[in-house]
Amino acid sequence: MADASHDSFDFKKQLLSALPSLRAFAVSLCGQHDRADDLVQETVMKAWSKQESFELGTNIKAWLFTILRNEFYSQLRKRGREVADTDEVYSSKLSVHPNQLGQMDMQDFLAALAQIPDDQREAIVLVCASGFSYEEAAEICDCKIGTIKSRINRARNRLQELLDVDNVLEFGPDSTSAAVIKQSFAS
Amino acid sequence: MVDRQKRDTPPLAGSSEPTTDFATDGIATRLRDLFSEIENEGIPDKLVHLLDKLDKAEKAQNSNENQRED
Repeated sequence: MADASHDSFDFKKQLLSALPSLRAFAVSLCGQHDRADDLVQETVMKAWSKQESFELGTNIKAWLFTILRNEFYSQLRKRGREVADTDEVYSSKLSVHPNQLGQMDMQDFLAALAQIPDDQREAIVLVCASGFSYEEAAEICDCKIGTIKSRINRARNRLQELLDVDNVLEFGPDSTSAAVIKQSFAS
Repeated sequence: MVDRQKRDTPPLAGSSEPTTDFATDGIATRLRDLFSEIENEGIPDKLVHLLDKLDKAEKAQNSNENQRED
């Protein structure tokens, strides 16, 4: 009996420590904080109910990311693809005053992420931001390592186009606004 | 900043080397910045409360089961 409560305590602690990364993954996938938080909440409940299936000693972060990813796609299928998604991200972005550069930068990037295909987005986020290896990312996405690599390359090229990284770094906020306008036309 | 230049997790043994040097890639750097910015926002209260509730419910259930066993 003492063992059971000890296990659940550890599980909760491990879950809590993985939550910030899990939430960042959710925001990257959804492009919106409120929907991302709902997704994380669903994931936490799912993970809790099937905690027995988590093998101790394996990577709990990868396990949780897999649950969240599956939940994301199952919600997407249930709802049908919402065409309005990208528009929502844009309208929220354009309402941000340019002098909030940090916020602007985040919204810019999220808007660009929202424009690339789901499979490319998850690949680049898992490997380049979440710190997973190609192998782990392939396992989470249930595909081959080579597929992950080519998705990342395509994602990088597309994001590069969308964000025009060099210009933004060189010329600052003004070119950021220009990039927003450019992206609006491009979408 | 310098720390971010390094990958948190090195590729597992047996996995191939990256085809691109993500560490010096502008896109990857911005993506990592975005990611850590969101991570640093902290955990929303409702998620912490949810975990507390799940934990309490489980403990209550366990103690009930134990009482029955006794």
